[in-house]
Amino acid sequence: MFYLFLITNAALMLLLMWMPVMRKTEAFFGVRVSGEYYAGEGKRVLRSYRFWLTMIFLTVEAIAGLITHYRGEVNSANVFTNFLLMFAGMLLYTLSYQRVKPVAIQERETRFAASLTVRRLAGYTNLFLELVLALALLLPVGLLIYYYPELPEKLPVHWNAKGEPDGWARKSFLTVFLLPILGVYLNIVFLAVKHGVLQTKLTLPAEQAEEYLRLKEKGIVMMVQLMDRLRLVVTVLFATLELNLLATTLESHALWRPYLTVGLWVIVLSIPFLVILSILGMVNLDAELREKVGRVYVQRPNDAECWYWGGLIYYNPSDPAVFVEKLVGIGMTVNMGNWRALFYLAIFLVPIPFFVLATMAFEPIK
Amino acid sequence: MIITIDESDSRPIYRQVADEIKVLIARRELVEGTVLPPVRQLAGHLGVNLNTIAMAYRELQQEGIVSIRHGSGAVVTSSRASEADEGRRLRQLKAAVTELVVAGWTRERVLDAVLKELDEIFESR
Repeated sequence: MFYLFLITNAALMLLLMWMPVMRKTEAFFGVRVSGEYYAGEGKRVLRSYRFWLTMIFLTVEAIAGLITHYRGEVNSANVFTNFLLMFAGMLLYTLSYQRVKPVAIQERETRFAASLTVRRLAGYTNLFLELVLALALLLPVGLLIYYYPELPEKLPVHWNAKGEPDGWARKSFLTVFLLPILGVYLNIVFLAVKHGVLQTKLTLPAEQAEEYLRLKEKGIVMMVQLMDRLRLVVTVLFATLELNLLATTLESHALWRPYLTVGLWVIVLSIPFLVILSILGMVNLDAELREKVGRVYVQRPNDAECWYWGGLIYYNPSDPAVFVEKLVGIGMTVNMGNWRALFYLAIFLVPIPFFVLATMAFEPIK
Repeated sequence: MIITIDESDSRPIYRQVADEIKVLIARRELVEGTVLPPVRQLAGHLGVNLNTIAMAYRELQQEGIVSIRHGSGAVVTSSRASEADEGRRLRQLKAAVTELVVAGWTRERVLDAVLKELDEIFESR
């Protein structure tokens, strides 16, 4: 467990190391700077930032390692390191941003463009995928309803890495059907994000607008594909877990067990694989944009002023756009100044406590 | 289907947006039945106020170029010029040509400029 968190923390560190330079001079710590600064004083700021980041990482991991060694596996301590690193990393990032902010150069361009093409969800929907998803959502639920009377009073609710149950609870509506409900909710979340990606605010440069648009469209398609693939993987994962419940409780379905265990591992590992693939795709896209158009991000000066915390938060009450391209990072973020964005955030965040409470409603049995 | 605005242009933004859309229609890049983006979306892309785009769309509606239906948005209509429009358009042409001549342009220069604009529109169809 400790090593799992070590890996996720290392990945987080790499992300934090890369963030300031991913958009190069266009958003160095979220600030538009000159080439001279980027190659000169900027390098010093970057080195200092990365040095302190490394120090924080090593300290946190050392403490977590010591706690794990002397107190045994303490999951909560490991999760805490995750948050501590994120918080410390963000703090360091914003401090560096404050250092760079004074040398920001203003956008001098006065001409901007926009596309009149409307992107509709229907145009980016793969019917076959939707059918597979519907099947993955409904089939296991059908089986669970059919076999519900046969299920024992003591149901497994947690399995170890080998697929053997190691935690049980009393059979109830929630213990059996919480997973399917969560599956439906996650589908809604991914669809909402997909919709957001298609609606993203996209200011074009006046020069080479078509080429810039074509490449940005490629990025949008990449994001949409990722959302669909993650939606598929997560739904199939849940379907497999639901079938696993049947396999590990009903002798009639015991034969499924090894296949489901392998299946679960394949599915879980595919998630980071998909995410990494997308990140690489977007990095390549930025490189192509830089090469062909010379710009990777275009925004009006009054919009540029609305980025806070080094390009991490966009707060623009006078911008009707809900979704904007991240200035620093991959993908989209929401306009915190737009009430509609808060509505979307509510869809994502509000049900979470309900799901947590629902799992607490399980009656554990040893 | 791209429109461009210029902050340093003397025309207000809504006028530029309306003019740009008219150019696209002239070039047949926007055809009858095409639905224009919702006001909110286009305003977001261009980084302008909602009212700016709303005004542009209303202008186009007044000129009979688009029709705005609540719920379905602004749709490009077929432009069959009415009698009153003819007069207004010829007056616009007269004003533009007069301005050029007053600025010292020769007959040939005016004709060349007009032909150049026409070529640009009809060639991109």
